[in-house]
Amino acid sequence: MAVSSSSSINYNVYNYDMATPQFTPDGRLLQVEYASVAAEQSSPLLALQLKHDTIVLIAIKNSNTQNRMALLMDPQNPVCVAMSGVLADSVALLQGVLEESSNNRKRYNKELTILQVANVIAKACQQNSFGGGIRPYGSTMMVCGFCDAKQPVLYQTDPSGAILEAPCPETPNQVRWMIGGSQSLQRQLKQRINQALGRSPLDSSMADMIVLASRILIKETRKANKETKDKGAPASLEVVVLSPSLGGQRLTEEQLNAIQERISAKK
Amino acid sequence: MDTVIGVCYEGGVIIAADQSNGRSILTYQTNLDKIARLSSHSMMGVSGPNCDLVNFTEYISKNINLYELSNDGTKLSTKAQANFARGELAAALRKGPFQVNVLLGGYDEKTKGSLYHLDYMGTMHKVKHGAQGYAQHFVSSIFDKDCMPNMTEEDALNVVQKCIKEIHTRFLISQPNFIIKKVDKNGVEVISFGGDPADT
Repeated sequence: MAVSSSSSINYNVYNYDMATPQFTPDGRLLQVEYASVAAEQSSPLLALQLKHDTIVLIAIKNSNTQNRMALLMDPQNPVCVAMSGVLADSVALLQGVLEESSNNRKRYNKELTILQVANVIAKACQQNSFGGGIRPYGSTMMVCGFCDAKQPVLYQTDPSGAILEAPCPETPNQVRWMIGGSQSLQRQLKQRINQALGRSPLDSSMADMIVLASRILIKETRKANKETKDKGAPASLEVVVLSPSLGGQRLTEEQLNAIQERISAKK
Repeated sequence: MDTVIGVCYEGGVIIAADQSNGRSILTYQTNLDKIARLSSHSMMGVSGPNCDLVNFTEYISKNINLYELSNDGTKLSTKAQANFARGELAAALRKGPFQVNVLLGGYDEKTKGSLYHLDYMGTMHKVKHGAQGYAQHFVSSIFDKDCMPNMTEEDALNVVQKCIKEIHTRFLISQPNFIIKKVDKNGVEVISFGGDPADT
């Protein structure tokens, strides 16, 4: 059976390329599509657009050592890379970004733009979607930051190597994008959170809105995972705030504990 | 043997270079353009053997162009371009050095005019005025006396012309023609030349 692979090393003898991305009769790459589904294994990671120019990323950590959001570059020009899917693959892609941004800094004394960061990830994902004995990266990542005009931009990359730009919602204080979790859970979360934020008073502080969104996130995620024990127990939250004035800030232990207390109090 | 002079003013940079091309005791031509345009708003005056001049300027300018094409039209700032050129000079130093000394000037929205003095070893400094070649010995005192902060374009051009006059008076080697270029918010423009480079 003549099976061609686009990798330079010929693995045909071992038949390693039996299950690698090759087209189905109806023109689909199943391995790549299945890799996208891997993101559903992670809990949802929200990107909220607050007050026109601030993005707040909220997630429940699945691992107690690895953060799901990496804040890169200098705090004045923040870039946040958020991960979902196979954690090891995501971290490997992040390493690629760090290497490329270091090279760019060395060569041009300049930081990568947000789109360039997304391109680094997408290029790596696309190269692995060719197959030849290598499986695709099972990671769906989100890259956010500010463009030259100080407008927040947000891109999603997926295992096929595609880049999706998440549009800015028309009304402020809404969910801008989400990665991780099943389709139905994402839909549920988006609806509930947008409703809650929409109903909150106009002078709500950012902290109020973060508490609101986190509470719904924790509740819905636990419900979806059918976690009935430890219902009141605090979740391992991770919050990153990106704004043109503050730069990129990861909330500290104390701030997160304060949020948890407010969430528990309302229950 | 080459002379390159650069002066930064409020709103841009003027770079002048001699137009002689020669080796040993022979002058090949007196209408060579030694100031290469790197991007829409930056240029590089180069001194050194003609082979390295051409090789280095083409290499840097085309790579800068490639960056713009590969990155959605993102323009590299003058600082980034100078750093890139410096990196290439440094990398080549222990392999096959480019024997060029460079004055790189450009205009950016935020930082206005900026001038960088690079040498063949990969040393780089941001300067308000600079010269490459033997000219350094003749024109540094003119810069010290006449370069003021917040100079206008006219002031800068006067300084450059004073420098050229000094070279014509006191420098042993004949450099009859000079080409003067400026870069400002409108881009790179030739102010004057002694010999028409279009004839090369």
